[in-house]
Amino acid sequence: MTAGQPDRPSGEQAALDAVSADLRALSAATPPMPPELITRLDLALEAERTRVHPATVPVSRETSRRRWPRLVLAFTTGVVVLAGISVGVSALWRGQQSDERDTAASEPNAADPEIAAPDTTDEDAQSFGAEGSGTGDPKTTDKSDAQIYYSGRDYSRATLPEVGTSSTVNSSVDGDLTRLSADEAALGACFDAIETRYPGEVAVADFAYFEGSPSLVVRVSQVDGGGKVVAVGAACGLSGADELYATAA
Amino acid sequence: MAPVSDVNEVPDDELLRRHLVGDHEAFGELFRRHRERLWAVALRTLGHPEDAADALQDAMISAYRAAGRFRGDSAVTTWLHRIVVNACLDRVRRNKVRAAQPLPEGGPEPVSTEGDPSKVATNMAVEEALNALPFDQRAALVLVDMMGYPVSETGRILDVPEGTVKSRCARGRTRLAELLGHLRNPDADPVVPSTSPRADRRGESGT
Repeated sequence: MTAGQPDRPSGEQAALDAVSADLRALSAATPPMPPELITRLDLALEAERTRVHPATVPVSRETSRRRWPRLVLAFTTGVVVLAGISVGVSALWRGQQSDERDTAASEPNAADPEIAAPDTTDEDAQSFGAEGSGTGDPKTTDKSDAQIYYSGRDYSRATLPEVGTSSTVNSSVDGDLTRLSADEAALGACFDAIETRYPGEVAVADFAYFEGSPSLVVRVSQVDGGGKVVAVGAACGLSGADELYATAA
Repeated sequence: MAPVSDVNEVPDDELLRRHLVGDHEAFGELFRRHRERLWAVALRTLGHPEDAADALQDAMISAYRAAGRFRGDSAVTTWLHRIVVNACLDRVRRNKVRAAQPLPEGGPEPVSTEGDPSKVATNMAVEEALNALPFDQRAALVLVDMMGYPVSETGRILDVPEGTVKSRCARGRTRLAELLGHLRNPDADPVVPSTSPRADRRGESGT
């Protein structure tokens, strides 16, 4: 008699006992944890140790708080460069270049005119994105920093690995994603959640869509040398990464 | 603190305590100690290796972060199992939201394909039927019938009364007996879903 079973006719009980036997047999056939999963868990735990005990573990990654100003700079720079091209005022901001070099002096590539762009608020940048379109890639001041795109592209599983190759900035951020686009802490928490799942660092992020759903599509450079492209939903960072889909980069 | 060579003999609750006071190796040892069983629970509860891997990682990180909230009301292993089951439930819910997305083709099978072909076929049929059950019944059966946990401990893992565990197991077994009837009596009309449970599992895995 199986534990927890009320009295039953013998035939029915035999069938239930047979089910329990089937389940035990299936349990015995459970494959062991794959070695690659063991490695993955070890890496994730190490990343978590780094996150929680930054003072006692050598850290090479930046915190999201420090990273954020560069992310804003990357986006605003890209948009402003586009603005400069589309309205023919590039000479104007070249004239401001010397001042901007001072502002961005701490950044290794600050001398690059595309990096040392005039100050532009997020609102300015997004209103441009909403109204206009053009070409040009966001720039960053450090190769290790994430590049932020606002392509508005609707990615499929097949096209996800193309994240970061789009040269189009043609839409405002979908309303569902404004929590992430407007709040540095929220985006930082989202990156942290993604990097917890896929130990490494977010290298590219694109405010876009995945199979029709508003999505932040990111490319993660993993600590084991691999890469992942991950589409996450608008709840990213609230409770986990809100992962929609992931594939190898 | 015990020397490293004795770590295998350190009780679970002591490892958790050491983790909380900053011993960087303690949690890893604790998780390594139980991970195979936790993996089995996740794999059998979710029915898909990739989902199980994700859930296990989520659970591990949750446990790492939440260790300070462990009150000692249950065994550490019970607490770890509860976190894993909750992570599995979270994943089922997420998959349910995305039920319209088809499963990737060629995914790995959570049943060993080695050994007697008839046993392999039976195991695959049982696995498919198990995955067709609602999550609560499936989790109860995995813990009681597959992992061999007592009903009382399963109740603590699932955070439900023992009577609820028993009723979930009973309903689950009855449903499996229907689904697997053709395995016992090949001449009878099989009582099987109209579509493959595997094809529908992400969408119909109830909570």
